[in-house]
Amino acid sequence: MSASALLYERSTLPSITDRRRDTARVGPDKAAQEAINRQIEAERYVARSLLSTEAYRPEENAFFPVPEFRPLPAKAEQVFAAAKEWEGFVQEVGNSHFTAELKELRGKGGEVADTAEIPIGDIPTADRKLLREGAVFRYLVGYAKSNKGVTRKRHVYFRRGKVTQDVAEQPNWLALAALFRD
Amino acid sequence: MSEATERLTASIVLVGKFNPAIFSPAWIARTELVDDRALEAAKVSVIHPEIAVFEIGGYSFDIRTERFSVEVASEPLVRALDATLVIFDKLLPHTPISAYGINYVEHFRLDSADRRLAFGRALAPLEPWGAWGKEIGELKGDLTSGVVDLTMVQTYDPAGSGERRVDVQPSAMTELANAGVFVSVNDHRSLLGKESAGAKPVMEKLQSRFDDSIDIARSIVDGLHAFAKSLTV
Repeated sequence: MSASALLYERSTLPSITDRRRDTARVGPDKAAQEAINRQIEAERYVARSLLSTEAYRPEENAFFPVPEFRPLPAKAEQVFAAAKEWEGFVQEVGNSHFTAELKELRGKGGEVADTAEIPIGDIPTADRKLLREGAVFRYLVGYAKSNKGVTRKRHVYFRRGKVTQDVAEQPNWLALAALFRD
Repeated sequence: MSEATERLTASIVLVGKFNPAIFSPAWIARTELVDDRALEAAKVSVIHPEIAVFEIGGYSFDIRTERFSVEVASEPLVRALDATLVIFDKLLPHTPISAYGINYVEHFRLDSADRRLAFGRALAPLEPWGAWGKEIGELKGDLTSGVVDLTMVQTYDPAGSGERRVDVQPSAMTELANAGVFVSVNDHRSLLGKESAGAKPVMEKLQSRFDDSIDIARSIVDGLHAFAKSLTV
């Protein structure tokens, strides 16, 4: 861009004096709009000067507006068919895993509680704030089917509402025994 | 439920007295069910004093003056129960509710259209239909005909307290290429005139029965699928 063009460019920008004069002449709203229009023209001129003749296409907007970022719902898999499901409560939270007491649901399971170590990575990111000792959750293992095929999937879901869980209400016998050890 | 499962939903339906006008995505977003980001992606079909229909955070709500329903279209299905508990056990416990239903719907895929036809013929044989049945049996290709809706009902004891209703139909999912089966299991329970007690009795029954009800529904669907697979085509 040449120095003369730049000087011309600067000369097209409204000065404070110009703005005061315009405001007095046509009122604040119209003056503001005129100032905006002048600014738009000036910026278009700069854009045309910076772009080469071949590359510049007048039908394209010379501005690059900041896109509006909106959170979109995650692309859900077509279906998640859980083959196994457990309900349990969190006993201890570690750095990468948490331990939990689980009872298998579905069919004839559910009578025996097992202790398991579960990767925190199995918890959806948005739900990790719900991970705390005593939290009741479901653990599902199965197949997620999408357009890309079938993949194995594990999922931790923390229960909402006034959820009481049989396994959570049982006394922790090991902890009780430790109290009487001495 | 198996790898042949193509789509499944679970829903809870409550019958009682509701005020649809108070239900909206913004209201749901203030509960613990969804986070703020879900509110921005919510889809509203209609919100009116007599009907509110919207989707938010994986839940589909349909509330009318005498009926409330919430549906989830993916595992974990227990989210439908949690949504109901959060709304009517914690927030609106005095809502009069007289009946409830636990619904499970699944579309599963068979390996061919011929197998689905054989499945339909096994569920509803053509012989009892006489000459008309014979005429139906001779139709081929695009004219292939047969049962399109079959309902089995189990009545609960005492009479009037509810029923389990199972509907079997050809799946309308076009991507299943005439090899899909739709099964809907509706476990309906009535409180037999105890609706004035508010939501608590129904919430207690829902919490104790939801998993068993879904378990039974799954076993019915799995049984139908296994039966269809066992047929000689």
